[in-house]
Amino acid sequence: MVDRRAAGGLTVVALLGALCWVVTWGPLRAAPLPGGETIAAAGPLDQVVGPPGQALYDSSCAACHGPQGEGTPNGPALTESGAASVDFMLRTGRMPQPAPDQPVRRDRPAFDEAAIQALVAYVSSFGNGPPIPAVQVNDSSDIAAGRAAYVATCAACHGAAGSGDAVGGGAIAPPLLDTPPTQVGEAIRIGPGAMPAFDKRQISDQDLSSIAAYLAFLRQKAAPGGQTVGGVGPVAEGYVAWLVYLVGLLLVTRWIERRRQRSDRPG
Amino acid sequence: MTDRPRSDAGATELDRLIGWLDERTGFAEVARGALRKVFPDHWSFLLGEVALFCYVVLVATGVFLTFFFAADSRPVTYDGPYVPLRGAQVSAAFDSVMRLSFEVRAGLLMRQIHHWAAVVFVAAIVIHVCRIFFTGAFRRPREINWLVGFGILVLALAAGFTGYSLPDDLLSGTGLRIFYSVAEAIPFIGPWFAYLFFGGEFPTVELLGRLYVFHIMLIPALMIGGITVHLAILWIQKHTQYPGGRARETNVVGRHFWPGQVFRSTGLFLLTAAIIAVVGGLVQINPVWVYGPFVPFAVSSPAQPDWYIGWLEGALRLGPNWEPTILGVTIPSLFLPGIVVPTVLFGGFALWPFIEARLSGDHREHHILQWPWQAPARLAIGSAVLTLFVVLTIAGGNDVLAVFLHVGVEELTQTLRILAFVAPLIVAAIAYRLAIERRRRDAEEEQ
Amino acid sequence: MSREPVRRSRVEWLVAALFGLTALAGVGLLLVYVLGGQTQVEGVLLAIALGSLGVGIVLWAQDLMVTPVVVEERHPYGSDPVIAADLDATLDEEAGFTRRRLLVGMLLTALAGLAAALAIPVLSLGPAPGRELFTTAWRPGKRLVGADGTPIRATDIPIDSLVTVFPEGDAGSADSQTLLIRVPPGLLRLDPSRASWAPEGYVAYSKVCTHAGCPVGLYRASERKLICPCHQSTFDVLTGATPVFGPAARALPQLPIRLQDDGTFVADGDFPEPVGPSFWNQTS
Repeated sequence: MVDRRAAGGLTVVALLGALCWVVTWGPLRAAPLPGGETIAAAGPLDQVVGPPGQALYDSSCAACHGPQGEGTPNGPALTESGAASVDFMLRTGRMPQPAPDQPVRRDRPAFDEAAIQALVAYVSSFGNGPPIPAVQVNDSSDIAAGRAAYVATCAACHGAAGSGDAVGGGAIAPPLLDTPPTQVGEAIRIGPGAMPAFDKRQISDQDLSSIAAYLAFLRQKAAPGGQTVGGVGPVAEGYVAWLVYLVGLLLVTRWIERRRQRSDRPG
Repeated sequence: MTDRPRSDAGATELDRLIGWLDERTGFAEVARGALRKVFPDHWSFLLGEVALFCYVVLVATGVFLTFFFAADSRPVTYDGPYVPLRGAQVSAAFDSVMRLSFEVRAGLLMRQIHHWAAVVFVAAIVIHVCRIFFTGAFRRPREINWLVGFGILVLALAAGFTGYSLPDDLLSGTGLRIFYSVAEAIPFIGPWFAYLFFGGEFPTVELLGRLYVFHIMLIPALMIGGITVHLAILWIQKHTQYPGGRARETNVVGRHFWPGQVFRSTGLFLLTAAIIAVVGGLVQINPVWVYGPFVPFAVSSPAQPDWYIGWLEGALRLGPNWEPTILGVTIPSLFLPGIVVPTVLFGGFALWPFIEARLSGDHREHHILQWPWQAPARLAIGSAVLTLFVVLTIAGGNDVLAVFLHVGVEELTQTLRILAFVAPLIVAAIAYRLAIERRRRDAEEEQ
Repeated sequence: MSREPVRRSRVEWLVAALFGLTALAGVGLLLVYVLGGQTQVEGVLLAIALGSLGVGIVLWAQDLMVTPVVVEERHPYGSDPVIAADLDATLDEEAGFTRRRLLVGMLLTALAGLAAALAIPVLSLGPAPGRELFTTAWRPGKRLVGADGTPIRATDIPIDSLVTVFPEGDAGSADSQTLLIRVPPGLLRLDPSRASWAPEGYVAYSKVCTHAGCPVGLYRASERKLICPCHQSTFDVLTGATPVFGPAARALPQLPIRLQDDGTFVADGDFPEPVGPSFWNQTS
């Protein structure tokens, strides 16, 4: 007959071992995060196919932004928007908004690739605005320059680890590790929501690609120490420490001085 | 001294060794008494040991780290394997921590075990203090040990703060700036004290070396001395015990020190070290390469200290924007949350045995503990203060929490400001009622 | 044969196996190290080595040893009262301090003076603050430059954007760090005496938070509010960086700047009040 306590102890050890495997090589290992839900970057505008942008605009956008993008009480003018702004808003699902007085929120995109390209082409024809920046992340990207630019300009709101943070006033600087490179570039140029815009003289086009490359690096290769627990720093580390202490060490002390021990009977 | 005749017949090697030592020191009698000393066995009596063993892990890993760390703020250009920092201007200290993390085998593991041991160390002390407090173990004759323990807690906080500031990274450097500002808020001598400690206007090149001296020399010396005194007093006074069974004020019921307690404590040490080791290897902590080197005009958010300084951070975040100027003297807005609140809380904490003795009128010796509900007033007060610390610590991470709870930071901060006053009172009232009830039921059962 | 001895030896086998596991994990750790090391694997193996040894030792004590509960009597603390009383007399018996009050008094005075003298080197740890906390590196005529030292031009900054600037020659200076913010010109509502300090919607404030000194690095451009990440002090750019939320009580000091013909900026002087957190003798 197997000693019940020994069997229980071995089960606990086996479970702990399994847990260790799960977080080191198994399904929960520190692996690249799954990709975002947004659609990848647009292609050249002259290859637009599908429904004309005007028809889409009239049915989905004109009610708030005006038939020629001149703006209404419900929505701002789009004459200075440019392709970058339209592309960003549509791909991140921020636009179209269900109702005009709600806060602008990230959401699933309402349109498919062809529709987005058509709308971008149509709305950017209303006036002048920043074009979609050409953001390239590849082996020759200058990640070090990207880090320097990111820490100087972006980390204060978006976090050194790109994990995002609240900025007050109900606004949140979102986490950036899942953001496709082109959207990183678009956001920097247009300054969506509460974010300021930065133009070429503050952050060059080269810097856009470098920053995006640095974010890609952060996503995949910046955690040699193991699980990052959200990348928000000591707050999460503190919760883990207490969890480890309360679950691990308290259980251990209770086991060590458990009531029914063979050793207690008089010799 | 006369030679004591020893018969060699049947003497083992150990016998001979003991004899050799005893002839020169007379230690055998003391040792025999020590081996047979009785310690009561309750799991809650192991909590202080958990803290002690965390400290052993800290010293062991810390010694390793000192061989690699350079407490030097001179700028160097990083050219190691971590690509994003290549070419960046960093301090030699930061550079040495990068090398330790990326180029020294087992270096990152040692760093992470060291840091996890530090955060768990303070948690262990806090739980141990709670056990001491809520069972009344600090009462006469153990007031001195309470004070020594208080000193150990303060040293632990100082060790942690100086320790995580050593890598000279953006996050800890921001914390040092706040520490400098709080020092400036000391009445009248603030700027002088800040200039003295730091060596000038923030940031200074001297600071890193001074933090290092505190962290590896002054604080450990005081800590080891304090722990030794703490254990010596405990040894001399014998351990307290819970009521029940054969326990009396005049005895100690438990197990001999050897082999029972020694084996269990050794096992506890190994298991504590094992748990810290597994967290140290699997969960990343303080990734300084992500924060980057400290630059005085850059900052990252969220910006928090390690959890055990979080209560102070929360007090600063919840503090009112009062900055009155009275008779030409400005009282900085940091003064109330940064100087007054810690002084009151920690002052009360340190003096508690004397405060309680005065309030309760109980100046007798106690070796039998109380169950927490047997002292309802103490339970209520302790619960209230604990709740306050918890609210303040949570407030220290209010921006992270706001994102997690999908609420606005401003609204959460206002709520926590109210909770800081209301929650302790509510918890105290509930604790008091529950304790009174339990005491009443216990009294009825005894009849 | 009773059951007990059989169950005992099972625990013994278990403890022996645990000790063996420790040895194996130790060897494994050595191998991983020799083969180049990997933090997660090292941590897990170290935990297994320490943990199984710990469990084995505890099981040995719990189930293989006989360590019964015993009772030990306490001895009262405090020495024999006669001896304790005698301590006082023993201290003075041969020393005779009570008969040498003048010498004891002078001895204490000497020690106090010596302590004061020996404490002097502590003061070498830092200079006296002097007027340092009241001034920065900004002077009239100093150009505004970026962190890399190049002068900032008005056209570099889009509307509702901002940049961190320093006095020329002191790029990177901690106390001189300044935010140059561009807002739509008509929106600024500064004190009339400060209106000329912000040409054409470009306004400059100290970046050092007046609460606890952190760089005020966050900007909600749509509301023109600066936020400090450390304790969420919020400053309204349009009204002179006055605090509108959080624990800061003082506005960020404003830097007087002028726009020059070539599009660069110069300062017209230092900040009018000390930058950063307040201190008690601030108004002196």
